[in-house]
Amino acid sequence: MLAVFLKDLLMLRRDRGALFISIIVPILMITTIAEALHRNKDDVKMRVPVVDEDQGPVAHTFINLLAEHADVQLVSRAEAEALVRDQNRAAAAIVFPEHVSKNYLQGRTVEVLLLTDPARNEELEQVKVMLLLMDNRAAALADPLAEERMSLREVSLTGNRSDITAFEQTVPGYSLMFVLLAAIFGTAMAMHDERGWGTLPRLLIAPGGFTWILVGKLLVRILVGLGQLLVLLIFGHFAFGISLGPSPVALLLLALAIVFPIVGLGMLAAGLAGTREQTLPIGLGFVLGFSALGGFWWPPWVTPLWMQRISSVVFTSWAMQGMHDLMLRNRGLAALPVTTSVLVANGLAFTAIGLLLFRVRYSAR
Amino acid sequence: MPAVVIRDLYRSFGAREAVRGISLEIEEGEIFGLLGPNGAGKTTTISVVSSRIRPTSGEVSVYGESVTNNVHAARRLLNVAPQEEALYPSLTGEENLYFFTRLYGVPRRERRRSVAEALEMVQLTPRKDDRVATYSGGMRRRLNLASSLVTRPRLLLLDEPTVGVDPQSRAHIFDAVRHLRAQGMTIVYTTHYLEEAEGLCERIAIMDEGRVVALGTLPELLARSHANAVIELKLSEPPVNIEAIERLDGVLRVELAGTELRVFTSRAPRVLAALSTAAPHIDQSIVTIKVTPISLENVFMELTGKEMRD
Repeated sequence: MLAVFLKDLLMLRRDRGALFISIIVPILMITTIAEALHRNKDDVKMRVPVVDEDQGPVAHTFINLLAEHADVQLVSRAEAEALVRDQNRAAAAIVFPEHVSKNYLQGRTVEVLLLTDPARNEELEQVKVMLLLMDNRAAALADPLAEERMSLREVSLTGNRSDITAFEQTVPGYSLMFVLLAAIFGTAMAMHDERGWGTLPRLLIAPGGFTWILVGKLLVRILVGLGQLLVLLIFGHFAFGISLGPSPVALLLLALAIVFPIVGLGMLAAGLAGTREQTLPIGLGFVLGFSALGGFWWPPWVTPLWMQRISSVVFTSWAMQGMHDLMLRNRGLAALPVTTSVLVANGLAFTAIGLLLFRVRYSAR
Repeated sequence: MPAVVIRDLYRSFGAREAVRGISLEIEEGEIFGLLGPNGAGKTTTISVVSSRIRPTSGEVSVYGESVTNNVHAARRLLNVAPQEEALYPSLTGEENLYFFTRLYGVPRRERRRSVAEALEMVQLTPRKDDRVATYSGGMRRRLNLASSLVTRPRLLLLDEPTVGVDPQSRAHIFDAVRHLRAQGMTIVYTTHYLEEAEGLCERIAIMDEGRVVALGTLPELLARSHANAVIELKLSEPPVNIEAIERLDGVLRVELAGTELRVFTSRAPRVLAALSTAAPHIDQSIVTIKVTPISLENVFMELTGKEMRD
């Protein structure tokens, strides 16, 4: 027993890279998750575009009260619509129409317009809570005994669906996380398995060129990842009633565009890992990090601002946005060009860097 | 045109020089042996010829194609059976070979025949449908050889193909190598087993410490030693007068290791007769006596001053 214990300890010491990474990666992940969930979020205010068509004292008061809870941005109606519908930068915009002040001061109920993106269901609910708080405060300021006199009219800018379920928020996120898990580990370990089998030297001197051989291996992983993602989504459709969007072709293309950077990330993990053992902590770091930043576990707006800024550029956020565009916003092929371009660009970058690192490590020197 | 031309090849790994200025030519269709102890630089030389690693300096070409400047063209002409097994354990023997034919671009219509021939050559046809994970060590080594020849290379590099192989598999590998030679394939065969080099190779380069210390056919190499026989005496006690034995007519060199005396000679009968004169009482102390023709091992020792197993 002692002999085996000492031998294994010695082997662990020899792979110091794996030891180092297995400590650093959990530290980074614990920090990220703790920051995301438990850091004081006083500085985190949800962005709410507001259109003040009233320009009167009541609308001004409403806006000031709203600003206590939200990051209010005064914009035109067209800008508000663009922020919610086209740029995906807000869950809802509030419009105070003309004559709000006049009607409110005359004791009449006023109608406030809420331009919404139902796909961002949880944020939308937060906006409604803010409006309720705002109305309560306004009523208390005007007349402590008065009741709230504001009614809300919702207009969806991103489709007609208003029956979005919690499943539709969670199933795509967790599906992507498991594809991330399988594809990254599958890809990274498949690369290092060639070393273990002794076949790597043979592949290195094959006439086709090592890069193309590696690309062949990646294509298999893309195919497997694509199949896995589609099966999980179809399961979600039948088991939990999630929408698959209006266009199967669009879904297929988006799934392909999502799986490509995931497999590329696996290649990057393989390139960074000096040994098969190192692929474990590196791969796990990628899976957990990109899941957290991509909003697979929680909506990005609950995280600190710095994390939201990072989230907005990571490919997993774009993957979630693409899924929501198809499934929750009922957009078809037209929604794909920008999202898929970003995903493919990420995939190319990850794959190229991973291939380069792997080649440098193992090819003819 | 020579199959392989190596000019002034150097290859270093950090501060260690694995190959130090090798130059040689290998003719088309010959079995060329690279013989040397472990660490002599044989595998490094093979690796450079196969384009697996780049030379630090020098030139290597395969059928006129430079392995550094025209690497893809060179790779199409060669294949290598590495020292370590390079097989996919979850695939069958036949599936492994099909994979390598596809990898090397063997035309589809030729693959079936090529795979069948390779399996037959290493006598694994009865086990072709079994997964490699179920093969014995010897069978895996034979399949390893088959996977390099299934692509029908003009130049086949075999790196210590019989290390750790059972006698039956070793015999199968020798048969396969001779068969390939008969088909006109050029084979570079590295080994540290002298009897393999003697039995298989038409020309042999003896390597030591990164250099070629001798090169030629077996008779040419043996001729480098002026001795034609070795008298090996096992004695009950060491002889007292080595110098007297060395001075005998026909004695070229004397080695003494403990109580074992080896006399390299060009005139074995005369030296045998004169031994007792030169070393009185030696007759009484002889336990065994053996006279053998000079061998490659003797030549290697003469050239390098060390045993093959060092």
